[in-house]
Amino acid sequence: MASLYILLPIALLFFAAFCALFLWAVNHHQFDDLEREARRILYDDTDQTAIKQDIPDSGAN
Amino acid sequence: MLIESGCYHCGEPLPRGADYRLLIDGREQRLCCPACLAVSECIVASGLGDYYLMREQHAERPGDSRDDFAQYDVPAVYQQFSHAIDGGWRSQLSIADMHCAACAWLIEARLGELPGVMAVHVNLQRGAVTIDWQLGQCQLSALFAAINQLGYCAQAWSAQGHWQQLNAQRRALLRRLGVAGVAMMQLLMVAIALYAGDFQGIDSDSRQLLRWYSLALATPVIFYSSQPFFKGAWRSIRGGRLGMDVPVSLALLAAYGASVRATLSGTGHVYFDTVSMFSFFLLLSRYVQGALQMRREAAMRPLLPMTARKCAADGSIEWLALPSLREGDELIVQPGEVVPADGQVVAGSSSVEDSVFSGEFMPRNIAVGDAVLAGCHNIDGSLRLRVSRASQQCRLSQIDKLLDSARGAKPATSELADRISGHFTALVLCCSVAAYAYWALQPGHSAFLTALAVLVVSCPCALSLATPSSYAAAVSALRRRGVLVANAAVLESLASISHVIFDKTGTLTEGRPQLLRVESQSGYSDRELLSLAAALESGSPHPIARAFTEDALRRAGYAIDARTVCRQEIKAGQGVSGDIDGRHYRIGRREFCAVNAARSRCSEEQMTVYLSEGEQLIGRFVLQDSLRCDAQASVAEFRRRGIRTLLLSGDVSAEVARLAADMGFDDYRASCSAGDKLQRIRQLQQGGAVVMMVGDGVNDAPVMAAADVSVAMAGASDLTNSCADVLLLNDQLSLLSTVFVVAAKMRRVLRQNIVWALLYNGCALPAAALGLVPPWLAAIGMSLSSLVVVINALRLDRQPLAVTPPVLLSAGEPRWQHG
Repeated sequence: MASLYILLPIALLFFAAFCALFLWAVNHHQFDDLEREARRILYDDTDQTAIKQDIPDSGAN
Repeated sequence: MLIESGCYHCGEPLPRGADYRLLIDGREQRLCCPACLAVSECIVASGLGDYYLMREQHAERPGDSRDDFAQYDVPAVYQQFSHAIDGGWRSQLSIADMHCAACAWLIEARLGELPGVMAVHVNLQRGAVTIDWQLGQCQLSALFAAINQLGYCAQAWSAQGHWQQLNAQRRALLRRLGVAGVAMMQLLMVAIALYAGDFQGIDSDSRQLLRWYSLALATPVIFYSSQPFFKGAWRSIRGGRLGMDVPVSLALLAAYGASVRATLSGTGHVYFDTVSMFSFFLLLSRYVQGALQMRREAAMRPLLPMTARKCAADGSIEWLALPSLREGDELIVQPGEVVPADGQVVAGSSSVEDSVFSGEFMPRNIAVGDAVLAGCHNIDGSLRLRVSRASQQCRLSQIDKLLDSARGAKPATSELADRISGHFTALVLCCSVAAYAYWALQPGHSAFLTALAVLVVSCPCALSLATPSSYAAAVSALRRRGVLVANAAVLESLASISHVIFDKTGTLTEGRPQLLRVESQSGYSDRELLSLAAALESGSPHPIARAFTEDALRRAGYAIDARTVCRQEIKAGQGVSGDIDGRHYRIGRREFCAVNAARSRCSEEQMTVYLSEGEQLIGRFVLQDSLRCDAQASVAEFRRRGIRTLLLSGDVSAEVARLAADMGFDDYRASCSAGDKLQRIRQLQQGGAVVMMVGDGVNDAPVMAAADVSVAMAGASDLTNSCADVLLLNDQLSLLSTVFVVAAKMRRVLRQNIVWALLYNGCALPAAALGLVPPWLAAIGMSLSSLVVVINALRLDRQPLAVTPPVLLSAGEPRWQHG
């Protein structure tokens, strides 16, 4: 049973490490949106330079 | 200008994890807390953004002292989240950390005592408070300070700020929940070891080691995870009331205290596993409720983007914050974006999906000249828009304002439930003391665990959630289908409707009369007559006037000249008179024009408008207004429900009689003035009838107000002056039956919820007191009971099945997350 004296403090360290990691993740918005991120790959990246060419002209139409 | 290192508003260093951003003067600035965010949002939105350029030192951080709220006393600032009402202002604030009926009561009671405060309504579900206050008697800063003194954080209401606040709250809860969850897993394992040790024998050193380990794990659960319960309990006790957090906190503290003592002294029992379970399950229930609320909020208001691309005259593009958009600005909207402001398309064509307004997911095509509303999704083409309304007046925000005040209202059943649950908490405390006293005398039973179970199992949360959650779900279910309920209380009275009164023009008919022909009675040409008519009718809200606008006339194939009219006078239900070039003209009904001309022979679906100069009839206009396609079906639907249908119309034409017969009305009356309609409603009500009035909501306001339930077709009208209880946003009469169906469902769900809550508390309390409920079951039972109520209510708001275009995936997502 002497091993408990080592194992339990190690378990406490793991607990502390988990808490730190979890708090970090929550604070960095990792859990904000669990639905969208999975679908993000489906979207094209918007190219900001392309937008300029795409503006409809008021003269047109 | 200052060098920005910390919070843009107050200059204090940004706390870790704080993520509040606002676009000020074209640049995204970071702020330290929701309070600063709210203040600067108000400052920028009220056009006082120059303050940030001119100031020489940072502002005070909005804190406890009254002076810090002085910013809210500036009229331009408080007008952002307030609107004028009879005798004062109605302001809406959002409040973080309200959990139970006691919190709501405390705020209502405290603010109600202040001088100049006329009414206070707290909406627990939304974390909002609506305050009616008198200018001069009281200052808004004093109200903010009073709320802060109670220990709550109040902010000016803004959809964006509220969303961020909800998000911050949810994150805080998630952190607490995660810590409690992992600690609980560990503690349960240790508990099994200790339990087995009790039976099989364990040496006291190992037992003591395991207890100290449990203590180390349970301590963060008590001091970090369980804080919301203690804070809530402390607030309610300070307010002199027993909130639902009180028994929970007592249970947590008692279990923890007893366990610590047992650990230190090496005797007795430890209950660390019970502590962590209570905390975990109660937090879980709160988290799920919060997440459901956020989901509903997100679905109900697709947040507008924070910025728009303004297109300057030279073709350059500039990003602007929404509040600084002005009427007449030109914007570019790319495919896949949300339209940021109400406007008119000046170039480009696309299809837009406007389910926010109509509940209709099929995109509709738009081209140059069409109007687009803020909140629509632009699907497949670039558009150039000319802004027609500043963002605070856009239709979406008008709808939001009505919705906010509707959901701020408190039905009577809800207040009753709150009162009952207050008494119930006291009963629970007495019961747990009695149970402890009784079981302490019985050998072989843990009186302490029984008392803990009583404290936790019988929290009356379910009871106080039953009513508001059902109402909120019904309101949002209707909103999703294109019906805006401005007064939620009518959902209750819809069941007893016995008579329904329809107006004709604009209600049964499309309200878009078109000119069929012009009959000149004198030397005037058609063009001259129409020019006079157009000038006279300009500015009249009546649907007939719409037939005489330049666009409508051009579509009917007529051209007009611009004339100016002075001394224009609109007589409701009669017509319009005015002077043009020094001559007096009248347009409207035959009697109004004071002419004895024979009635024009017109066919039944037509109506005639007369124009006279002095006493002389100079022309007649024959108009046609087509019937709404779903009018007949709706009238039939009412008859099927056993509701008597009446048609009251201001028209004199024989069309009314024919229409009434055709569509199967039980009764009709033509040529009714507003007074006649009012009298008829009163008469019916005296006979015990419950009357619903369906009209266009603009021309018949007093009649609407007299009816028990009023429904308005709100298609294109300005919503700010609407007095109707229910607004049909896309002008479909068939939605009326949806309203009835949803209201009936809501009453059923409400009954189920109340019965369930009473049943649960009625059974759980005696069972726990008899020692039949172990503490872990108590924690789960109490969490489930309130979740059952909330989820049952959400059944009302299930998404209608629809093919959703991919662009919807981003609906309701706040932009700042990616910022």
